[in-house]
Amino acid sequence: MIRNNFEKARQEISSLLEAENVFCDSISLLLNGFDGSPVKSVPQAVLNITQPDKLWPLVNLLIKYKIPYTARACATNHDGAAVPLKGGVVLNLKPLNKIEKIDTQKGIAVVQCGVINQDLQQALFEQGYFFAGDPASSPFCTIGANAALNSGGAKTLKYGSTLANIVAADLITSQGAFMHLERNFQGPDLLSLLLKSEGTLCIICRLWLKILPLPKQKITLQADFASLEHAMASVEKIIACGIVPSALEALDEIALNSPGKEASLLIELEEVSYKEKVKEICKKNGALNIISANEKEAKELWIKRKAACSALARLNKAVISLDPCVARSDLASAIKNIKQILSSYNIQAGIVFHAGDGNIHPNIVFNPSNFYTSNLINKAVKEIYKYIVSVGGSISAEHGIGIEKRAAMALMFDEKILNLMRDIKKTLDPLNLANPDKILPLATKSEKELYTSKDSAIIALQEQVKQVKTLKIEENLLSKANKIIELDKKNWLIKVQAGCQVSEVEKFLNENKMTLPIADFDGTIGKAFADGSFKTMADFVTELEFILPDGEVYNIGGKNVKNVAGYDLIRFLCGSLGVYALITGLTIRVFAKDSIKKTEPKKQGSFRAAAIHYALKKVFDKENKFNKLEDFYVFKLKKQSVEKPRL
Amino acid sequence: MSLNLKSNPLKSQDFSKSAISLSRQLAFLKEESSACTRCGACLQGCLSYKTLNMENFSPRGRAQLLNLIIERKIDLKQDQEMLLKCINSCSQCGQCSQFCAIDLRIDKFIFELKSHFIKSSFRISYLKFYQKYSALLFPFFTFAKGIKQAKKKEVKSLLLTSKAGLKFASCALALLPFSRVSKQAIYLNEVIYSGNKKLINLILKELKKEIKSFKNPALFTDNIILWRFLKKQEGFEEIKFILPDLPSQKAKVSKSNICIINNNSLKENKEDDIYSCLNANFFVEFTQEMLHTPAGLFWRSLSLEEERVLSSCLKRYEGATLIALCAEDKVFYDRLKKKSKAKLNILTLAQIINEQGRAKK
Repeated sequence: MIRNNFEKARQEISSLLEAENVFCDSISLLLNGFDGSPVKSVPQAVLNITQPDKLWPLVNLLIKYKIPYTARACATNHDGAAVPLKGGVVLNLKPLNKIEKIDTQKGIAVVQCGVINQDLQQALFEQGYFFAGDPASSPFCTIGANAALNSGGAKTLKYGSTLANIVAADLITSQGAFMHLERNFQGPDLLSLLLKSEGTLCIICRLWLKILPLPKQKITLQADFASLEHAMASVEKIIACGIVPSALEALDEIALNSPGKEASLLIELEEVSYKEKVKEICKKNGALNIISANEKEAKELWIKRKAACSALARLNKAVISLDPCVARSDLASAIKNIKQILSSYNIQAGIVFHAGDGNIHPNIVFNPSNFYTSNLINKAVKEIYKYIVSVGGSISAEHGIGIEKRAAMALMFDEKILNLMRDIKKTLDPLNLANPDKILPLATKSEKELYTSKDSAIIALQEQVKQVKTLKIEENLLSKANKIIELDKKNWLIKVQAGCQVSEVEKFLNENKMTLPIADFDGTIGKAFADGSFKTMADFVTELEFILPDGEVYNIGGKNVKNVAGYDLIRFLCGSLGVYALITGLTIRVFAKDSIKKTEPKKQGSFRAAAIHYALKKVFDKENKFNKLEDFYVFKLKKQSVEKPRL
Repeated sequence: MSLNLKSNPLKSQDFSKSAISLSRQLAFLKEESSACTRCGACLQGCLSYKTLNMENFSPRGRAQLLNLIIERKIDLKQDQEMLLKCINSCSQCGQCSQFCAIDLRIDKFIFELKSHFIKSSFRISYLKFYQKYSALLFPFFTFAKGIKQAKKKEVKSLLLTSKAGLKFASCALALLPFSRVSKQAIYLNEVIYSGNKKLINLILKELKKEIKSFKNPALFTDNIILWRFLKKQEGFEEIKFILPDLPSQKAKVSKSNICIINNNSLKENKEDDIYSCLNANFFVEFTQEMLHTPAGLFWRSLSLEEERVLSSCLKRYEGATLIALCAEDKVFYDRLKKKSKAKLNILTLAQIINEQGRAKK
């Protein structure tokens, strides 16, 4: 069926892209149907995209002929997201590797999606800048893929993941519209929703990245510990002092290849004045030895750390790298448990972890031709995921879901959330053409219990939503839901209900020598989040509770700082003005007092609604019960229209 | 590229006889080639991938390709052109294995593939391929001029490859009759990979002779592995190497009068002692002139037919400079020049070195 469709479209595609960029020989097909995961597939054609302008007409052509398409560049991802599962065409975006502009005055770099991360870093380095998205695979992964999977890396602790450093993007949505979206646009954060969809909702064409001046000085400390608990105690103490290292990494004894040391911390500091303090903390917590590396040594240390995953392949034939994430306070016990699970199945694995943000990488080494062990590994991996979910963690912190973790999504999210995500995909891509069958479990029913709130104020709100036909979402609605639920001092998180006044929360935190990442604001936390005054607030929100017009309460996220499982609904609902959901509770990262530059509020107003806003409105609010889109948009577009590309 | 849509290649069962024999001949590589975990670390070193921007031309892709050939999953006849492109785009510089966490020698795989193609019935198509993409075949021109020429004549493959700094020597291997290799030295680097001691000794002998014909002893290589190998050999202790493209190292350069040309492949290596034997002034001018010449090739073993192909290719490079590695090569080039009737400058390396020396005085 798909093949026939492609046959029909072939003429048009080759006249659009020029015949030399269309590859249908079996070699090209077989060599472009894999990525870093064990999954393989064969597409019907490989299309080399050499000009960004051609993407928009091409995607429309593919939609017209109902041909599935999968974007692929370096395909070094671990999750199978770049495998063309349903066949169709593979769009090779690697040729789009131009750094279009570096504007140091505005602090922005404009790049095409196929630029290699390290090439950009190099170009920026020459001008004294850097880009904070820095995954371990930076020498051989593209920026576009970093955005699509919201890659993390060593610097996430201080600078946030890739999405937090993206300002704007040109993309082609799965509906076939060319859109230029900016993070600062009023209204819901469509940019993040579409970008971080692993290519299932859009194809990324061009990105505007936030670049930062290089720190004047940088020092790297290596501290070895005899036990994991000691290492983690040091991490907690370091962060409790208000020191935010630009990287805080850890390797275990297998990854280190040095028995006797259970863990080794790599600490990169940009404030040299903290060096002695950090050393002191490590020593107090039982560090065996502390080495402060000079620039050259540090470079070697980091190369060693970055190569850890692939170097483990030496131990056996293949490596699977998992990336679960738990709250930092659970890290030590999680690692112990994961090790126990692995050893109970007699599986060898080296563990590398980002100690600062609770992200663990068990790198399992095995022989794929041995079916017995492969089977065991499947079981062990499922058990690991079950454990991670049971402690409230995320199955994926930076690698993405793709195919590999698709089934595990059913462990992490309840059926309500999964259906919501399925509806989003179905509405924006009814034919399931854009990177089909990724992220969401196909038929598996969720094993997780449906989320319900026990709070009386929230239950009352649910009832209210169920009964009325229309409801204006505003801050007064939540006047009763104004409790501070929990201050987690170990993980530096505060869980509040949306009706809390920002000033009250700030006051409460100040008593504990802590502070919110946002500046003073006259209104509730829910308002600050939903009315778009702080468009970057979503970077600090790890968990969100909201009510949809059907009266059901939903919960997404947890205490883990990094989470890339599923669509990024938290970011999407930030600034959504009550059009899509009623926000009832949030968990926000907090910081030591005076250690962070606070975000200033910006007054947000009406926004420009496009067809995609309407489509999503139908997903969240079929009966148009909540705030109307018409109340906020500036100029009206026909519902079915597509925006023209800026050529 | 033909737009030939085929049925799912994984299911296709129609294989030519040569495919079966090729698969058998290469079966000994299976264990190694299937060890690739597809992590993609090799992509950062591969020049052909960086220029051609496609998995087909990446080390990872080539390792998969070898797997596919061994498992007989591709139709060799139908996809001949792509197959040859995939293999020939590899310059066997060995950068990929430096990044590979499990030290896979993909360049070695490619060498095996190439040599098997030459032996097998693919030889004819191999030659045809070179006729078509002559730029790959005949890189004996000066760099800047070559690019200009290529732009004029729209030889795409040349532009791509020279931009990436690819070396061409290995491609020329295709033209050499493999049966005659034992008599003549070919690209030494590849021979070393093959591990054929007899052949290596023969070539070393040959090389020593070559070196003696210079006033100042000279040798040509382009590969750190080869360099290390030669350093261990008897009679090669005096040999000096010159590397292009290393402005930062110029200061360290002392005295020497020999040249070895290559870029990139040594760039990342911290072999300080290599740099210390470079001659600064000489080095700069010389490498600008000869940045992209292949090394260590001896063309004397070509058959008449192959010479004819070469000379016809030469017509495309009107005005280019050919640099002969030794006096014998010059004779061969003169013959080619006559046949092609193209305007070509022919210099011997000794000439260049002596001129450089004189200019310095």
